[in-house]
Amino acid sequence: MGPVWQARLSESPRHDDFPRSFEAAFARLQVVVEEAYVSHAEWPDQVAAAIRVAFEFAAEDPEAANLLTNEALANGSDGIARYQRLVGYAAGLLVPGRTLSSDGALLPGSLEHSLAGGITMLVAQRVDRGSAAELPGIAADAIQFALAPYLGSERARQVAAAE
Amino acid sequence: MMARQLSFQLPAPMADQIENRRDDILTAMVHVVGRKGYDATSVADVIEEASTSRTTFYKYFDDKHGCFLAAYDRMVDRIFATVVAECDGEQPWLVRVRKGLTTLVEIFAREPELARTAVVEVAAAGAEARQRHWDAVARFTEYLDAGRRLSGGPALPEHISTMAVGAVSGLIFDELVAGRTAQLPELMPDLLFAMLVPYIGPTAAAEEMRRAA
Repeated sequence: MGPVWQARLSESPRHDDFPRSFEAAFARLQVVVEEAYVSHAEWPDQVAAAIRVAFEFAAEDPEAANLLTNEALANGSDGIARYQRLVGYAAGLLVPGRTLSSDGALLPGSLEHSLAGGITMLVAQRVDRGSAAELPGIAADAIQFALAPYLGSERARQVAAAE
Repeated sequence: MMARQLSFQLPAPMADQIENRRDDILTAMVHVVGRKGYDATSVADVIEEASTSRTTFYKYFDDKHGCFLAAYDRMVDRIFATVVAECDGEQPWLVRVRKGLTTLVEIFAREPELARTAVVEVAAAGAEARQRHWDAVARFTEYLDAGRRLSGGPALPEHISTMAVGAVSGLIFDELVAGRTAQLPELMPDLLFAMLVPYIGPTAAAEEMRRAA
């Protein structure tokens, strides 16, 4: 499965209508993420659910995930701006964590963007290397990474381990 | 066999000259791509920047893409060697991370075209270039992995180093795209926090951030 996808992604030409394709894929991702997010009451569980469905989305549709990440970055200033909007959207979901953190005042303003950027890069790398199917299996890593600065490592690990 | 091999060796000065000419082309590729973008860069641009001829360019490279890949590999090797020279050895992990990151940021701030080629334009150069980019990321994550034992708490996720590098890379990317390359050193406290927080937690990472400010 992996090498087949890798070959497809490597050989796939850039989309003729990149903006429209990107926006369609982004809208689909936002729908599943927001459904997952609002299905939980507590912020840590909301973030965990959002990351899990985003990773499942990428595993089930690596071409869309590639469009949202690697292809966007290859599409000049327009693609970069769209990619930054995607990262900004993900970062926005993390902001409420500041109110739960005992170190909230210490956290730099760039924290959410850096966390979202780190997770997005992991997805981009997996998709680009033809191993998008592995993403659901490593979603717990990303959940722990996203929550630990707010909740501490132990609590973040517990949330990540919970189904 | 040995004699035959030797017979193909050029006199040292001539070999140096050839190597220098190739180096000039690779350097030119990094600069032009950083300035114009990968898609807008032509072989003619690189030839002009390197003050060389079309014949010389095609003596070393099949096309623009092959030249870019060679230029990218050499650029990463040089960046990595410079960073490792500053942070390797017996120093504590935290010191090595701080020195390594500072060195990287200083290189980028000093050479904005190189920074843009390394971080932004590589994505436009196709699948093969991106694979080299992921390989470069993996080289840096190996060094970060030594920080796992500092966490003291539960085992850190397997992919933590990749995400930590991605976190820092993303912040640098945003600065480069915004044209704030020269101001990158001012971002050092935030970059250090992003790199350290998964390993040492927010309180200790904030303390390191305060020291870097």
